[in-house]
Amino acid sequence: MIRSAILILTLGCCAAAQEFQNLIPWEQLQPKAIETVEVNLDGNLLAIAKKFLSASDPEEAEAKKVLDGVRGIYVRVLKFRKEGEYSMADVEKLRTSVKAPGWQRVVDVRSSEGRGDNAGVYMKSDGNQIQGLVVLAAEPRELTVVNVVGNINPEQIRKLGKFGIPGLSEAAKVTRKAEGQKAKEDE
Amino acid sequence: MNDFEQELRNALERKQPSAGFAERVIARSQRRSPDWRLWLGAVAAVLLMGVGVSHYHERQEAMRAKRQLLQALEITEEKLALVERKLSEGRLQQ
Repeated sequence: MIRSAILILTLGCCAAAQEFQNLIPWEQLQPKAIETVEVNLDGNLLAIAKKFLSASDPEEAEAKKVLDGVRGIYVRVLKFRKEGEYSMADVEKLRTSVKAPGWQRVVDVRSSEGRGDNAGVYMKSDGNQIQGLVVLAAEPRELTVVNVVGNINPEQIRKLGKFGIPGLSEAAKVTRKAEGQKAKEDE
Repeated sequence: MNDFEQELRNALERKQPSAGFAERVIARSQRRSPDWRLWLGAVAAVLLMGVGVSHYHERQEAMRAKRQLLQALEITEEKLALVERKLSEGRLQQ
């Protein structure tokens, strides 16, 4: 029983990691980048890392609490020397991936300028609990994708690491309200 | 002196050892058996060293994972802040 649960969790994490690998064309974009960051923390590594978070350091202690339900963190950052090294089609591909059933768009910022900043926060949930979070930031010379796999609620997200972003949930409400109004207008 | 006393005297009489007795004793004392304690100590030392190296590597891996975790959280923070900033700008423009 326990073995089955571990197997299911492991397969779930692998699937999530695999899913994330396909979000951005890493192999294609990496050679063009002048700086890259690749973080792959699966369940095992995350558990090890959490053990080494200091309880005496307030920020690390907070991070430890927040990460209780998290099963994996995957980050990709690509920094380019000049603009236009990645296409908006790459960004759209990512956006399409997080439109799948179960995914919810919390915030989506789209620049009206061709190569302005585009950003978004997307959540995957099973109705009751959040199963994952994707943060996308497409800046003119930098493309970042963060994928947090696991049960992490919005309140925890605000506490992630050393940051407290009090306006994010408020912003999400505003966005949803605006979307609701837009939907009514469309009707 | 009766027979018993004579027998006792004969038995306790000082006798010269056979030729080469001293050499044989010295040779045997020099021919020491391998010291098992030394071997045990060496094995323990090797095992301890192995455990130490393994522990060191595990710790190194854990510290690397921790650094990656903190970096991931920092990047997430930075990008969430960007999202919030963009939202605020959008609202201001409206």
